[in-house]
Amino acid sequence: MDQDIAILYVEDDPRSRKVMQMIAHDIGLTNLTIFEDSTDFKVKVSALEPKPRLIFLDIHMSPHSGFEMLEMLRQSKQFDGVPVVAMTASVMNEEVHRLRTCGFDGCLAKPIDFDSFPEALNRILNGEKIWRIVS
Amino acid sequence: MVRLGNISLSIKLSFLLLLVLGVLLVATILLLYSNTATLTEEIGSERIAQEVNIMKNHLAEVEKQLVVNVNFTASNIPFIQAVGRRSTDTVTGLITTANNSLDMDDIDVVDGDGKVLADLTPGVEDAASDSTLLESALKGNSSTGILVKEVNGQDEISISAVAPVNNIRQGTVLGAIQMSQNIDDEFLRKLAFERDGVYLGLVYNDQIRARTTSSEADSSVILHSNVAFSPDAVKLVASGQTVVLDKLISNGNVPYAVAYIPISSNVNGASPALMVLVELNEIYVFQNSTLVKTIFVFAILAVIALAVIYFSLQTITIQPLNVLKTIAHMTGGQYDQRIPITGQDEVGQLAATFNEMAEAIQQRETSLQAARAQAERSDQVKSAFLASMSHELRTPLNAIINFTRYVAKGSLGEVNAQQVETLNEVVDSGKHLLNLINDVLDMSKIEADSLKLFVEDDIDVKSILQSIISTGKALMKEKSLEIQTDIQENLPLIRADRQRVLQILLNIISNACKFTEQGHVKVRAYAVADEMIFAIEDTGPGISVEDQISVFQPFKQTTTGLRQGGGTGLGMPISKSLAEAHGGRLWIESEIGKGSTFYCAIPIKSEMLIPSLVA
Repeated sequence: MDQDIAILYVEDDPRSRKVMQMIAHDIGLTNLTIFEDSTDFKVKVSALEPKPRLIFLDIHMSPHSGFEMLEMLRQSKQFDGVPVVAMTASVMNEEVHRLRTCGFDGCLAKPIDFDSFPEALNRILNGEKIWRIVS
Repeated sequence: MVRLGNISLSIKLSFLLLLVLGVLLVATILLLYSNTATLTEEIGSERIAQEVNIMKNHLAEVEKQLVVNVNFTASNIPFIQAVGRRSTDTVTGLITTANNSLDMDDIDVVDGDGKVLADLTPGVEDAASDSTLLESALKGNSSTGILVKEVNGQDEISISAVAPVNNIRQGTVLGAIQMSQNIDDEFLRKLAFERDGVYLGLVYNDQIRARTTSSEADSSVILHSNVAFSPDAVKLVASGQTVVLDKLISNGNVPYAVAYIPISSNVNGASPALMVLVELNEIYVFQNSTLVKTIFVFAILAVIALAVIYFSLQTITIQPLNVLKTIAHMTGGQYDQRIPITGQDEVGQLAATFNEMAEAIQQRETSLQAARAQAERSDQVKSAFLASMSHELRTPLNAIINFTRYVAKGSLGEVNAQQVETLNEVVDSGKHLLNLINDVLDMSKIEADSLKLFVEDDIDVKSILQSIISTGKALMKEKSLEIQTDIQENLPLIRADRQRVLQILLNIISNACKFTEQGHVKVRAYAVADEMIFAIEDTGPGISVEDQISVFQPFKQTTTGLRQGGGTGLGMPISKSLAEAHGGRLWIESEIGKGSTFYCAIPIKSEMLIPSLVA
């Protein structure tokens, strides 16, 4: 895995952002961008340079929810083929069902498993869809 | 065999109406028939009385004419002179000439001694009565009578008159003359002249000797059959009275009135009678046509009445009932339909009662729907609460577990072994808490019956098995345990909820690794018929028969489980429910001291499960 692979993470909860930063630091990811809210998401994501190769979205956000952001990404040809993975604490049956039917490329449940995260990342980048609900 | 009770109401009503009208029709016909029969008899008795009088008059006229004719001849001067001279030739000549216009059947002349001077039928021997009448004439009396002669072996009956031939100057009787007319068919026809429908017969010695009808070929002619002949009446007639039969005689459906008239009581022994028949054909025809017309009119009226009653019943009863029947089905739960009430009769009352019932049902339905909606709402609230709980508990746990690990790894500065151990206990406690949250949420979903599977087709169970084996290996690190596998080659792909199958098998293998201190844990997987069987065998302490039941009951950990610590006591009940939600089974085979085997059977492709994502 390239250590400088461009990853975007959209998350409004500061603790969750910090967890992600710790993981990135721990496994040596150097190109992690974090948006702290979803305001002007479409503009901001289009302006990103380099273009992210993987996007993690929190679901419960404002003003745009994870689903709305996914919709924006899917409408833009720029992000064709870029896996969009939900990273959420809402992993009840119905919620996961909705994630799958809306077209997410996978889901990593919070709490994130520190140990298995690098393996999961690799598999996602290889085009696999992971629905890691049971930790 | 069709039971009457199964036939539709309108057919039953029609049948009943037809029956009633049929009975009415038959009764009317019988009544009319008897009335017309009585009428015919009355008219018949009037007609016969009239005809009897006419015939008596005709007979009297014939007699009178005979008397006139015989006296006229007897008063003829040349005839008186010829009788006085006893000149047979002259007398014969005179009567022959006279008979050219009189047209008698016989004329006899005798002299004063009773010796025959002339006879128009010389070959025929005169009957004894001839001489009786002539003898009375020789005594100066003119009279009439009936003669019976045997001619060619047959009785010939004639009516005759006698008169004395008087010497006008001296007043002495010179002789006598007798004229007679045969009562034959011709005679009777003249007698019945111009009386339509009147037939006459001459009855003598219980036989009909002459008749107005000529042809025997016509069998329907009543005078040639003996149907109208009554010997009793004939006997009565012999005493000189006229007899009218009470009953009408029927010949080929045509009624006749019958009467007998004595022709003369002047003859000893013999009493010929005139049988009078009056044909009542006109009445019969009239009666028949009246009957037919009446029946026809009645039938038409009956049909009209039937139609009116039928359509009235249709409108008043059957149509409303059909509407009732249709609406009463309340297809598709349409309880808001009401029957239009057309009147206050029984059908209207029934409709009103039905509407009240429908109203009650509708109200109950509405309150049921409200209750259901209420229940659904509270279910939704509950689900939303659970989802929110899950989210709100997992978010801080994400920080707790991962921050602690980060610290324990020394990323924020050096930590000593004691600190690492303590920090790892925090991580383990956090993970335990997470498991507890997962299990409690799963359990509450199972108890609320709201567990939903995310069903996918073509799930490869090998990856699931690899996943649980690596988890098992991680769990048994510090124990002298060995994981064995016996996995059938070419396992079929299954239709299931991948995460839930994984959850079931993880629960089982975690328990196996937790409770087994030495020996092995063996994972087997094979397909039997339409089921995929997973068997996880351990060499642990085994589970008693009582505990084999309680292990699947929520919040009832086995005594060993409790002693061992950890675990929520919900894993096995949840796993069992998950297996059953797939249409599968979960069971144990175990013996204390010899280990346990947990079996999980999942249908390979259950029709009960519908894939959540349709490709």
